[in-house]
Amino acid sequence: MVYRHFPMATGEGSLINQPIAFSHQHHVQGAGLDCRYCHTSVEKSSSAGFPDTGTCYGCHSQIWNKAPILEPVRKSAKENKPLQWFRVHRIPDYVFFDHSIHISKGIGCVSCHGAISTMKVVVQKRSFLMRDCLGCHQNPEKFVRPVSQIFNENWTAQDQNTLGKELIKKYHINAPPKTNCNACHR
Amino acid sequence: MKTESLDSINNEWSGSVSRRSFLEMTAKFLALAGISGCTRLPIEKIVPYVNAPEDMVPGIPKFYATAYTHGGLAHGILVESHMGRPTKIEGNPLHPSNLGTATAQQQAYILSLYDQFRSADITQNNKKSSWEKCKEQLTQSVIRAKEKQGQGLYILTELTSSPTLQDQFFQLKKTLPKMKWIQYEPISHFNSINASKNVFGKALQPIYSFDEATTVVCFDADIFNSPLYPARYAHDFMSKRRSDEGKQNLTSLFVIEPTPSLTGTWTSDRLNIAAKEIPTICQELLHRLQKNTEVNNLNADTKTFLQKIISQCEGDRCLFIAGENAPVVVHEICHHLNSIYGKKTVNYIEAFLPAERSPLEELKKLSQDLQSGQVETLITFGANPVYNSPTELQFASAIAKAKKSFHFSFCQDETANVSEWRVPLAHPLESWSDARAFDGTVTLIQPLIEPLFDGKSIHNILSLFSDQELSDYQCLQKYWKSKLSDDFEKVWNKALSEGIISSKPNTVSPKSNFKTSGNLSTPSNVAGEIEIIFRPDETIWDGRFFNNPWLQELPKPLTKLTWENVAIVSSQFAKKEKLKNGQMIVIKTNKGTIKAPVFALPRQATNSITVAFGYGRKSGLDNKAQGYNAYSIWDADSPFYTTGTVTILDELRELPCTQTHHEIDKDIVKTITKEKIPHTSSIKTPNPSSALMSDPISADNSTNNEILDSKKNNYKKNASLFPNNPLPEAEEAWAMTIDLDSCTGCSACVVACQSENNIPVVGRDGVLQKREMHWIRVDHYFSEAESYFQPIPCMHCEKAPCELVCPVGATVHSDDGLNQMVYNRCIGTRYCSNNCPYKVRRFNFFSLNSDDSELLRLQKNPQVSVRSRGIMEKCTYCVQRIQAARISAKKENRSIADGEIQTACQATCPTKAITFGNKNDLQATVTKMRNNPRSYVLLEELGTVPRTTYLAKIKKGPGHA
Repeated sequence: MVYRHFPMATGEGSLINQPIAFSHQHHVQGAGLDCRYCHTSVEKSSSAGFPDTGTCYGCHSQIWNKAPILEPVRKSAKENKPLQWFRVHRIPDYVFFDHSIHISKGIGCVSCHGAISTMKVVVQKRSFLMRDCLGCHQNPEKFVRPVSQIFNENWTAQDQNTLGKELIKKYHINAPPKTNCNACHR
Repeated sequence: MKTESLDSINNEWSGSVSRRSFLEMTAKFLALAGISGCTRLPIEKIVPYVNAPEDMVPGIPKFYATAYTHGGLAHGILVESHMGRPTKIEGNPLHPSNLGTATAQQQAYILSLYDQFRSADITQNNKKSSWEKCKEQLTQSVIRAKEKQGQGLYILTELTSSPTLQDQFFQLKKTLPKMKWIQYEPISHFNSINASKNVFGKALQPIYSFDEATTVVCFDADIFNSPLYPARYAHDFMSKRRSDEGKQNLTSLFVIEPTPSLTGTWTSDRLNIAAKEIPTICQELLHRLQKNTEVNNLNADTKTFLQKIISQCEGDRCLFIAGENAPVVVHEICHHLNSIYGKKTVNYIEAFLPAERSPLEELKKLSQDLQSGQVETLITFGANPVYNSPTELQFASAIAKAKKSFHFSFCQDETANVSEWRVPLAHPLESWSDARAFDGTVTLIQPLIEPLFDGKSIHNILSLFSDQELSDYQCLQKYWKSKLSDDFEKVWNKALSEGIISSKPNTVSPKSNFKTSGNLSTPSNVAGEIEIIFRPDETIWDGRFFNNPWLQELPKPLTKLTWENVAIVSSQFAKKEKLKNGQMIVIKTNKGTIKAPVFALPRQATNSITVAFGYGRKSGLDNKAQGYNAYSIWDADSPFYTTGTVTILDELRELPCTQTHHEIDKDIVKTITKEKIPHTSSIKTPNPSSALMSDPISADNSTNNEILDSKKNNYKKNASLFPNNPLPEAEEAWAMTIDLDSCTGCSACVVACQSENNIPVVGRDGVLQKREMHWIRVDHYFSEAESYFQPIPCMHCEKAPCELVCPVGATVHSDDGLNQMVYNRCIGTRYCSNNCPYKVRRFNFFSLNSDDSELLRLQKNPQVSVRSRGIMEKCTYCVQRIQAARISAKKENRSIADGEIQTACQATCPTKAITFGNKNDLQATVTKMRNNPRSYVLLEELGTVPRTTYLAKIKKGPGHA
């Protein structure tokens, strides 16, 4: 029972080998891609969306189209067989998380996922235990940011306390915040 | 109480480890567990598309408009699809057949797509073969037939109204004029169409307008529950009744029938009569209405009943309806009476269903042709006559006499087993087609998924016989392009999104040439013989849903039986013969014998026994569902009723009946007389002793059915034993109302809930141990004179007794008033269930969901947890739908609109008896319903303050016609 709070159990900080050594740092910082280029449904749906082979191949049929590292992408496109990635950020099946509502209410990607744009290999930066969720849900003013800055990992507020309170009003975020079980568990 | 022997406990414990050693092991490992606990969650794979469909958004379901067909008639449905996986069926709000509601069978149809008995292989003489070989033989057979102008080629389908298919047959007939096309289903509207030929001179189908009718007379017609009628009928009847509330005259519903149906059960104006007497009574009504003369000698009760009908028959807003099990003469009289008294309520369209000969006659002819060796090639699509035809036709041996037989079906069945070739047919949710609804509206049937087992389409197979092979999609497009020359693209795209290709055809105004035939006399009783009535089963129908676990476990609305059929006898008969429920009898007719358990039902005609089709099959779930095969005594010459003798055996069978499960020993059904509706205090409670019958036979003894006044309940309002912790103020306060006056007991809500919330089935043994898992149940209270249905979901008590006793806080309250069940906290003490006065909590004794096949898992709703063993569960007010609406409202910074959230049970209810919404919103429908004078609370004296409330059933006052 105690053990499950340690990173060994939560997976926090552990590296997972992916079929392709995909670097978020290269694509975001280097190529300047927006998160939504690949995670297309993050604003619309509970699921952020995961890029299909076609998304990779769209560019990589033109550039780096001979690179050995991209062989699995070419193979997938050619054989019409999906790539198989390993999930890094996992929540249990009895948790129903919705990306779109968090984004529309001013919670940036960085709040949960960390600075993805600096990661060569994506690592889980938080425990993703329920206390992580509650930490924010009980004090949303400490984390909420303008919706224009959702995808900007480098943004920091000059005075988060004042801004947080303003944004909570502006975005109609519940105060005091609600943490009903059925909001996530059903 | 029955004590369980140790054996029975051990038997439940499947697995190699015994119960005792499991407990020992648990103790030993508990200490270790404290340190190690859980390991890391296993690493999951993400498998994205290679090329994602353009309009697919992961996490957001899509809905497709298509149709479910029954007896050749289309019912518009919307199928929910999650990432290409069909998960749930609801009604299509734009379709005239149901206006967005759906019956239990229509919803359970989704399971047939994932049926574990779906046929997967092409076989010839039970040996695996290939489609190429089959196709070659098929085309050869047709080429041979062409040489003889189609002589010897027989095609057997179920009833169909598909314009494309009818056109394909029409074109085929040009090259194969002697080919025979037979359409067969055991129960159909043929008698009505046949009668229209006699009365009006042409084959017509009636469309009834219940929203106009002031008086409805049903001769053995179950307009509220028979799948041959659209759900629209019940919907319109009840919505008119609700809008008439408070007015002097509500629509009168008179039912004359031999065996209780939901329509007959709902009304208090019901005449209980043997099936053979119905023609005489119908004729008598005609005579009395026309000439005011009496021709038949009827008993006093019948006379009074007819007098009551006659007093209501005036003007042009009456409806006379003969059911599918009524003889032709009754249909003729009804058509004739409608042409006089139903000018505003009955419209006719030209018949699109088979009108020449009855399906049974057609099948008899086919059987004869098979026996005499005239059939060279028999190609069957979907129909299963080896099971669902009278056993006397010997269809299995007849098929063997065909030189070649091909059987296309999406499920393994008896006819497939005796045919030479067995080929998987595409499920209607996997293929393109079209069909007409009850009013002639042409509905598009579109696929949700590629055929799972490479099934073929009937359109495609028929195109093989013409010049050019076309796919089902091409066949459909070709036909409709020829029909809609100008704006094909526009109509087609609209049909794809709305489900309707062309609206209803013009109605015709026929003239009745009905001439009263001679005096009908009821055949007299032969001593020692009893009337045997043949009926389709209430849930399984003619056997087509035999493999459907949801419908097998859905308690049949009147008997509350699951997983098997019984012979229904009257309570008088049971008393006379000293029969107990479940006692075996042997019924002998001139066609054969069957052995069946009896079940006594009040309001069954005294000397009639009803046997139900659908069970006793030799394929599919036959090892789980039990029961007898009524087709083995079915009389092809007298398909509705016959006579027989009964031998009583000294053998008792335990019946999986849920009537006494979750019993509440209090007065919970209330009624109100319509004169008193404005006064809240006049809500009445029927006598508790007669309200809940633990054994229906004993119902007869309770002659005392007085009505007590609720003022006698001496409890203090708002008093409660529960702690007074007021709920925090919230914008929303969810509440539900259930109108007992509109509820017909059809149980569509039960299946809706089951498919929305991933509720498992427990099987026959589970039901016997009272372990069925339905989150909403429909209780049935009845005596000889009255009958009530009451759907009971979780009450979501504001002062919930279950929450007080949970040691781990697994059931707690939310701000908006939901009694939440937190599965991952639950440790399975079941204290909550014991403390629930409404008995709505269900416990997973086993990991029932993990027993599901890979195929069946595709049906699960991804928005709801799939619960495991040892977890308590119950109605959540469809919290996933509340959350979805809340998220979309929050994103737009607005409040949730009234009606935006529809719980699964509410959305599907054909009569709209259930409303749900925010009771803090004074304009919300649910608030208005809660303020209705008929509104009351179950077990109010307990002070639990439930959020689910009821509306009392409206009864006719004493001395009122």
